[in-house]
Amino acid sequence: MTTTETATVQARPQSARMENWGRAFYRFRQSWLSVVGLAIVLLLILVALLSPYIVPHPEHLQGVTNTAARFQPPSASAWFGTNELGQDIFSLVLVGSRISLFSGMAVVFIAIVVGTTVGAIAGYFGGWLDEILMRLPDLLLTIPSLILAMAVAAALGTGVFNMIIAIAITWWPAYARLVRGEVIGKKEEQFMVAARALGANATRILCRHILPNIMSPIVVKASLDMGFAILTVASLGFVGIGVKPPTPEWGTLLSGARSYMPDYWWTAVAPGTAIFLAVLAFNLLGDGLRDVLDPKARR
Amino acid sequence: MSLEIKNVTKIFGTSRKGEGFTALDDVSLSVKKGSSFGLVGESGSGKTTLTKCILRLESLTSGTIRFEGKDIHALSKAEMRRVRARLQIVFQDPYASLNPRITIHDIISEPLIIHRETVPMSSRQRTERVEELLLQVGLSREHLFRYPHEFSGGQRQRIGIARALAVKPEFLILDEPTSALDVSVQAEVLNLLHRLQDELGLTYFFISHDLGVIRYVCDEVAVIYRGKLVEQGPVDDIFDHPKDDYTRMLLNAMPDPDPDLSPFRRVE
Repeated sequence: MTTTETATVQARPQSARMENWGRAFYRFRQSWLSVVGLAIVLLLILVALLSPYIVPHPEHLQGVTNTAARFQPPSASAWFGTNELGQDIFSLVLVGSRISLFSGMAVVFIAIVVGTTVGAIAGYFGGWLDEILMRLPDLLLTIPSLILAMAVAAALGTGVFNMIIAIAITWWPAYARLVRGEVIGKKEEQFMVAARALGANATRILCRHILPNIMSPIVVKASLDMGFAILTVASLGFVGIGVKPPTPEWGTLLSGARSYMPDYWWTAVAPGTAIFLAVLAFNLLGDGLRDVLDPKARR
Repeated sequence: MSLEIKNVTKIFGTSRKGEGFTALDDVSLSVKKGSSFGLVGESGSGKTTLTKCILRLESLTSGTIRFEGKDIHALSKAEMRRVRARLQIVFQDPYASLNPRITIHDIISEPLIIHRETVPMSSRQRTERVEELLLQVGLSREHLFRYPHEFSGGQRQRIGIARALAVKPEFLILDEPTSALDVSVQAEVLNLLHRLQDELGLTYFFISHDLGVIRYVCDEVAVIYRGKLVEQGPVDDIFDHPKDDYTRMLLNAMPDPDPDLSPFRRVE
């Protein structure tokens, strides 16, 4: 009797959780597009991590030029051709994925941390605190985000870090609003009342009861936003207030290629396709995650 | 006296001009230690508002609520937290009152963590206490790390009861604990509550709209109608010799448990 009981105790805790994961993955697989999205995202992350070690011409990343081989069309030796300095575009695009992915993730991460904190406090406490805290996001949301990001980035000066800060400043209000709404919705649920009746304080209720229950919309929004964040990073690079040219970045590469269109089209096609693929992949992944986490919103 | 409610009035929406809604109108009652006090009333009569006032989830418009001599609404936050450890509640809806994202172990051990000053325990001791509670309410150790959605209504209500009992309270508010359950499960949960009261010497404040349940569980009963207590006294007195018209009406509306007397079985 007792032996069988202990046996089930050990078997159960994992299996219930594993079962949930299995079920979630099954629902994710229902749409092959999300699987494609996930595959591309994983590939991008892998490439970003390994790129400095696998690119054919690592010396070009340091700014070494080879003007004898400038504007070579795509060939077996230079898959995406070479640019005006004779650098291998394949190498530049591969390494450019690091900046794009890293900045995109950093922007979304900062936006989630700041936005969730502000939104959760505003939504939970309500009243004048809500009024004060939500006026700033309202103000920021009235300005077109790209323009605001450009203004902030220009004020802070160029560089990856400043660019991330600039975009994150325009990004967090959306999360603050989302989280505030979700918190207000969940606040009146019975188990929140139960927690208050037990004597739980606000911090405990927010962290233990409300946040885990509103993670799904945040995760979905984050993955959909990743693509857009990458696009914004590239836009700032394109207009020249993001990353400085020697550092390979998709937007900067595209901007440099602008003057050589249409004769040397390959200089623009490679970074452009990379941006397109990354944005598409994160959107597909986001759609798939939404199907898993928020089944009611499915088609 | 364990709980004494004196002249409690609660009016909602008085901040704006015009008449507010009077949810509780001059309610007075007292609950003896170790007894079960029933509160009967129809939907919207103010039963749940009264429990919220007792738990200080709502403020009072006037009146006092004393728990073992202490005025609950005059206590400091720290004192109130100590009172909460002795005054727990089981909710009506066993589906909505458990957080779907955390395991049964975490749900039941939460009051132990919140009241760690009153009941100091190591995390291992907490897990042992949770196992003990699960057995006490008729569940078993293997349920420890499951999530609420894996349980039936009756089982969830047992989890709710285990959570309420975790910090060894003396007083339990039962806010229609069986109204969301099937009849057969209701009986099981009621028997469990009966047994726990005997074993742990609990005082119950039992809220229900089901007179049969009140008669089965309670020693004393009060009838509330539109925020006013219309009648209160020992259960047998009220059930056998109701003085108020509303009480009489409620009693007449009670279905007879004898199937031969049921209107559905009547032979013309």
